[in-house]
Amino acid sequence: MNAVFTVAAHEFAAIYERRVFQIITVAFPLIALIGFAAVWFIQNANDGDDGGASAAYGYVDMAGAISGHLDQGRVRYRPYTTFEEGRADLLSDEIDKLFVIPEDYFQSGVVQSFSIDSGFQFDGADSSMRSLLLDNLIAEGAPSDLAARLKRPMSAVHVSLDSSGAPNEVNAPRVFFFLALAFLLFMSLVTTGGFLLQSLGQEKEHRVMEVLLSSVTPARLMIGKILGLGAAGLTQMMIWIAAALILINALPWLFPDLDVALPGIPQTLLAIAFFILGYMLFGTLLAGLGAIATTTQEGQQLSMLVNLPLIIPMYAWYAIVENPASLFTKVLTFFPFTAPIVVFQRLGPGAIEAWEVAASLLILALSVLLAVFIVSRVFRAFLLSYGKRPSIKQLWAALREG
Amino acid sequence: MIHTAAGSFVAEVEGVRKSYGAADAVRDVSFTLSPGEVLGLVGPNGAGKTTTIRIALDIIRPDAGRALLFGEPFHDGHRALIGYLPEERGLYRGLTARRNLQYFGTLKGLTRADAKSKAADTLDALGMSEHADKKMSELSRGMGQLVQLGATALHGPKLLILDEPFSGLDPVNVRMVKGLLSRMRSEGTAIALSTHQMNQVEELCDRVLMINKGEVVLYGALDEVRSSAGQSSIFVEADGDLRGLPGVARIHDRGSRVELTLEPGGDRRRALAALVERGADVRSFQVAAPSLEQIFIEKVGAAI
Repeated sequence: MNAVFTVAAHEFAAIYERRVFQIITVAFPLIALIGFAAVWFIQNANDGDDGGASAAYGYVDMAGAISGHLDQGRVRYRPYTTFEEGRADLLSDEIDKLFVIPEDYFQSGVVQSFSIDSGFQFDGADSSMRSLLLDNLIAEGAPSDLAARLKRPMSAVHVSLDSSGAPNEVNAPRVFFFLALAFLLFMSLVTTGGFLLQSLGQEKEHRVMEVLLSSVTPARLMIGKILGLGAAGLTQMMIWIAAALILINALPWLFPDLDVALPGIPQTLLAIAFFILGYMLFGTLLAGLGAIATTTQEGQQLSMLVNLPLIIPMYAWYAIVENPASLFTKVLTFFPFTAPIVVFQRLGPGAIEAWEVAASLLILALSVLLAVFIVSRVFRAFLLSYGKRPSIKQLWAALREG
Repeated sequence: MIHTAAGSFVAEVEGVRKSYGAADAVRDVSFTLSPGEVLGLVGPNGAGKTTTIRIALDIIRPDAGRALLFGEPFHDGHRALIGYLPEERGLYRGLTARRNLQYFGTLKGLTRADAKSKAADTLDALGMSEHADKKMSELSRGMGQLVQLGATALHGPKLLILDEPFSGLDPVNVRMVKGLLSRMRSEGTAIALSTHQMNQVEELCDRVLMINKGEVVLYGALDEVRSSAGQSSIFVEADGDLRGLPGVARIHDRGSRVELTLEPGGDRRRALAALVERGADVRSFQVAAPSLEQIFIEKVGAAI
């Protein structure tokens, strides 16, 4: 077991000593910050811009917070006295969105928004409602009990309605949070996986492999490398998340809904489980490819076979979040190569059944075991094959013989 | 801790066979290696030497036969007792000599502190202290070779398997490595030395295992192997043309002497008489067993 940790520690240090890895780890939060800031500025610029498509939003004001200012740029607000009236207009497409300002709004700041889509759209509706509330709060002369609301006029809770009008609450900031985690996991898997392949390729090219194999079994070498890779990836993710939290606290105007974005403990534990199993599956398969590849370059090319499925949910994120119960999304949820990313994407809107999570986790865990079983045999058989890629027949023989 | 019982072998390979597809890499290869003994493993390229070594070290598994280390089938605890220098070798080029040694030391079971101090001692013993913190990519081939040997012997192995350990070394470093091997041997380390340089086998080894096309063609104590080949060589120190002597099949320059290999049934007295007739200045004329190189050529039928 010591050899496993020695290899893991060596791999961890080797990955972190790479200049490219250091640059990616440091640069990524900076690039993300620039991206968020750009989106914020564009969104705020658009709020005062009348050039976009016009929209009609409804509201039910139970707190007496809105008395005027119903024209907000491209958005025209329509008042309703009851939720049922507003919902009827929403279902008949008379309005695009319905906001409900509850009686305790001045204390809680909570405003519900209803829509017949997933409630997850870049339509600037929340900003528009914030603007309407601020205009009204300021017009009221802002007495002392409104001071808190002036600082933070609205905490949005989105509710989507199905065709029968049944509600389904959507927490958009949390959706974003999990989408960001899914993206970070994708980035981390691709970058650290690439380094694992490079490490194996260089050990073969520089003939270190045979010296290593006289000191450690192929299975322990493989497990040590995967653990080192996983630890490097997890550390990278922690650095990114820590950087994000620091930025969020330093720049609250960029992330106004952080408090409703953070997931609960069960979701966090699930996310960690998928994260670790995802790393183990991809790390194991990449180790196998590294063993049969004759050069580092060939290993990188072969890694596309493993990385390609990862890209599907990254491209299809909107379809997954918009239709979390579709057949396409369900297939990706149970397919082990896409499961870690897709489950993250579905955890955000909370549109995933408990049995789906359990089944996906089970399939992923079984896939990891199968991958370890297969790859450990391939790894042992072909680590010392220099300059000649094994044939399918040889691979099959290695799997049978063990 | 594994102890080798009195009289038992450090390594024992019995009738191993390994095939790749239809071709046998080795067939019915057997040998033993005792504590403090040096076994020369010789054979032409592709003869099966590396496969035999890999089987002995459990890097590959044989299709038939068995390999024992310290009297028992290979197990994980043996790795710490073995030092292996493969022919296809290298260290991490991006790491310093010191960190390479430390890493391989900890892989062999040394604690971090032990690996650190032994790495420093080894580099010092190899005269490499001033290069300890240079990356391997910055060292010359010979220096890299010394560091590689250091990584093999750092942990004090009981079995040392060296594949062409002297390639790339200058004469000074060759002498240093020979001194290191001699010291380890006197401390009881069993050494298997695979090389193409027959003079080194004759100088360093107690016994020899010769493999050709995957099969053992010669195995035994060096003196026995040579004497069993018959008194068919004459070592001559003489000035003059030695070509075309009657009954002489081949002539090999052996430094200060020349080895004349007699034809089957060749008469050494006729050869000596012919030399004297030519007026050669003969300073010595010694009838002896053939050199290992000569035996190798006869057995293998290929030039080295």
